[in-house]
Amino acid sequence: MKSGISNWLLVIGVIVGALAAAGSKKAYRWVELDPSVDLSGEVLYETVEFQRVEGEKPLLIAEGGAALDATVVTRLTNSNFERIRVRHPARDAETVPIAEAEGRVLAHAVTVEGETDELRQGRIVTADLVLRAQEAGVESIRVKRGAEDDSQARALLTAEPPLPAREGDPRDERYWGRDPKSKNYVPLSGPDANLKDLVLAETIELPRRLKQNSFLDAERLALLQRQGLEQVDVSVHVPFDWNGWTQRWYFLASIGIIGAAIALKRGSRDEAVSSDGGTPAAALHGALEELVRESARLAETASKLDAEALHAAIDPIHSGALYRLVEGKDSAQASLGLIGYAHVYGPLATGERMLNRAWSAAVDGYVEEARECAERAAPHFAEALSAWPKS
Amino acid sequence: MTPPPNDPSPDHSGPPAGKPARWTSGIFRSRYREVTWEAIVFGVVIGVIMNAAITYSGLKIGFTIGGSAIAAVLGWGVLRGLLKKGTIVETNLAQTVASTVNTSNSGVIFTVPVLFLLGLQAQIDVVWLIAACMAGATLGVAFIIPTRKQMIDLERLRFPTGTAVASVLRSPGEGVAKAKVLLLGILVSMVVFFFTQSQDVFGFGYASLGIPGVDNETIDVAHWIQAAGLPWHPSMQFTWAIAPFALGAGFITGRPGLVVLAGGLLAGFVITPLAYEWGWIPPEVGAEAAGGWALANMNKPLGIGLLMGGALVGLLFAFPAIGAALKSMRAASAKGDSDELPLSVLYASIGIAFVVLFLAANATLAEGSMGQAALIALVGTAWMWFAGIVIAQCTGMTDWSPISGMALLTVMICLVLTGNHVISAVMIGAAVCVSITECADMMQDLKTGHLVGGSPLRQQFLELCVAWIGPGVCLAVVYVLAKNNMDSFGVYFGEGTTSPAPQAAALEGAIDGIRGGSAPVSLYAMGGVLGAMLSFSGIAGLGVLVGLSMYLPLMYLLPYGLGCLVQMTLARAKGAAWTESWGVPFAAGMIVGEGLLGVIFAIVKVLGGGA
Repeated sequence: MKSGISNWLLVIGVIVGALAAAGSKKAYRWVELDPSVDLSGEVLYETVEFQRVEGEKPLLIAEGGAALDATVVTRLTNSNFERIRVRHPARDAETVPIAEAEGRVLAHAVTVEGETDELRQGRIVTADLVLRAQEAGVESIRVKRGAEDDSQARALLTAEPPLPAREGDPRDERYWGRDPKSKNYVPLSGPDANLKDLVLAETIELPRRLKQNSFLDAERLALLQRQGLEQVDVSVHVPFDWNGWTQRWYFLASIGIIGAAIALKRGSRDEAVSSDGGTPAAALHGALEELVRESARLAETASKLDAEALHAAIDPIHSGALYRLVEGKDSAQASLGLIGYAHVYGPLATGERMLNRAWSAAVDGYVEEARECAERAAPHFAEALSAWPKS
Repeated sequence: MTPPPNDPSPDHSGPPAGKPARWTSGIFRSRYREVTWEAIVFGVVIGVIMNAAITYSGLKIGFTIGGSAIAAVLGWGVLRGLLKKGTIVETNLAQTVASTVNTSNSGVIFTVPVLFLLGLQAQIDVVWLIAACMAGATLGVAFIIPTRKQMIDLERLRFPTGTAVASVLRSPGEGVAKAKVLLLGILVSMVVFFFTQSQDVFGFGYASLGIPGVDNETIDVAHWIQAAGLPWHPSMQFTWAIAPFALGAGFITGRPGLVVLAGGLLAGFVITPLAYEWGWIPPEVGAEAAGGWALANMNKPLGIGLLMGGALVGLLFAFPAIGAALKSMRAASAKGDSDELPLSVLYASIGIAFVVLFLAANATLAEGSMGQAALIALVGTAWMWFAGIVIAQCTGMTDWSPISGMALLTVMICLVLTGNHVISAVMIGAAVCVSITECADMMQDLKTGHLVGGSPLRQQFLELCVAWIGPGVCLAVVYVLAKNNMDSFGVYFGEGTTSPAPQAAALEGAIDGIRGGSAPVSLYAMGGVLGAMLSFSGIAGLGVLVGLSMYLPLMYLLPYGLGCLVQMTLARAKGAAWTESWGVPFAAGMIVGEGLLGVIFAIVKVLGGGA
């Protein structure tokens, strides 16, 4: 009974604790709509509607993401809202002067003018590469797909709809075919984009770019400063706020619940061991005695057995007393305590390994080895039995 | 039964008569074929090939594949099939060597390419990077010496892949019927898994069936529920990965694995929908994307915290048992009866690793003091031990190891220690990650060794001898690829190359975030408190399991949980012994089959096969 309750308490404690911990990562916080509180810079977390009369279409007060300016606050207070959820942090990114950006991470990718990356022929065409090229104003790039000799095809980067080649167009249709039926038409963006196995057919140069989330160390900041940038967008990181973690009491309660479960569990275990007459322990002790007898008998007769007979003699020991002891290890640990358990199950495992070796040697036909290992297993089992507490 | 080719010399795995022998004396001499040149050469060659191939494919497709099962099957074929003299324990050793050489790749490819992505490649001191990774690999092996007894002998963790490999190795002695069950498991797994990967190579897969909700690698059950007009919250993702491996691992884990499913359900079916309904998730994130947002921003950091807190308290509880194990090791060592490497090897390894990490940190920290380098080396060494135990425990309990999460946490700690010096942080981080992957892999192999009767002393000794090879191989592949990419594409790794290094790219973003102060430290701490409390419950590994399950995507936990439930149902219907005897070989086949086919497809994709 106690054990059942303690298990349920453990489950409840873990669920409550995990949920409460997850709550510390929630993306909003509550603010009071008090005129004395400065709410400038706050952003509504979700769309807010107000239903004046049941059954009527609700009235939109403000869209999620809207700034919590005076108008929105007035609307909310007029609709009897006393507090509201705002984004936390209000913005994912903020713009800071370059001098203050060290140690932050870039909120968006930044193209570094004047410095280029060489993208060599054979480089795999990815969506990111297409985006970079488009941002750099590149109209088309030469590409080829897989092993196909399609290196004269030019892939269009513009989002324009495909146009038929015009008569007299100086550009080779093979290069510039905008007809979707043409094999040279390779859309790289939009719904028809297919970048599979596409590689650059010629080396191109694109402006260097600092990736989104790049850490801004002194070297990178110097690079940005050389571009003449005075400000940069960096991600906003919200440090852990104990007071803002509204689920903290639930978390502490969960610790209490788990603690209670542990106390109950330990109590029920002591009870089981003392009042239950130590049934599992007695059964395990019996199994160990049986193992010692059987292994001693095997050791005595081993020298007369051939490999096949040894193999056949070891199998029942494995699947009999030894198997029961291995299956009952948790009960043994509860009954004997950690140290007592180690003193019994340590030599037991060594004996088991010897027996396993005897089995393997018998299967491989190494009869002398099998006999010797069978003989050497028995004393380990006897040692385990002698380590079993007498009372 | 085949008679042995030779059975002459006495076995020296135990103590000889008279005075205690040196611990090295029995390693190479045995009448039972175990440590042989064939096994070592095979293991090193296969390990190097697998390491290079998996490093390459890992940088290309973003994940690595464990090599133990493949090495075991290949070892079986070569040593026993072709050379006609391999034994069970010899194959275990060959597979141990192969996976030791192979396994460091995830530690390297999750971290080192970050330096290329950040444009810091010119500032890398390659010699110290290699030295640090090699030291990490060696220390990872050494740290396992005192914990083998704890995890395998006392906690008796299941290590599903280790158990599966043992099933493969033991198959000749298990009888024809069980061998057929194992083969059936492999076959079923390969057929099921084949169509998840065949789209890119053969042009068809599960998606070609045109069944709504069925993708090549997943089945969206929520789609069916909604199509049937049944109520379902749109933020709850109920997608199942088509992963026979997960099903098999769940089956082998059995009832204890249900906690993993429960943790996954807590994250996916409780936290996510409630967070969505209560407006904790930004409104612009739609219901369908809420699961991904909650995983990245809430469940994953919380899971990492739970994992670490749970592991820390679990470790404190385990200290008395570890102490008892160490005491028995010392006693056995004094009698010359030890079946483990002596503790002096551990102490020497710790000393050497500390010195190497100190010198590496000192060489790369341009403006750092000797004291700072010493602190980094000290914390790095201690963290290797703790993180290695965490990873080995996760692998032992579920077969999953949160390497990417540990890499992130490790680099975060190193950034703090180095004062945001990225090169030192990533270099020490790489050494730690190599170390912890070695820990987990080695424990799997030692579990296999326990089940087939291999000698831990011999396994540990050979692992210690070859562990340094792996980092050298994968770092060489990383540098060759980087140079090749630069020549071909003008960039080392990332977008626009054939090696996008997705894990390293994710770490790059995380590093920038950590340096910018946005690491979810508060969630780590809260998770840590919950995990620590759960470990006080007395239920073995509860905090670690719940944390791991909140960290992993639910789509893999669902088939895993199904495997646990199938095992429990079968055990109730047919008995635990029957389930162990017949169910485990089939489940082992499921794990091995997917592993084998996964490597084949990875090689085909790397070689450019595709429809």
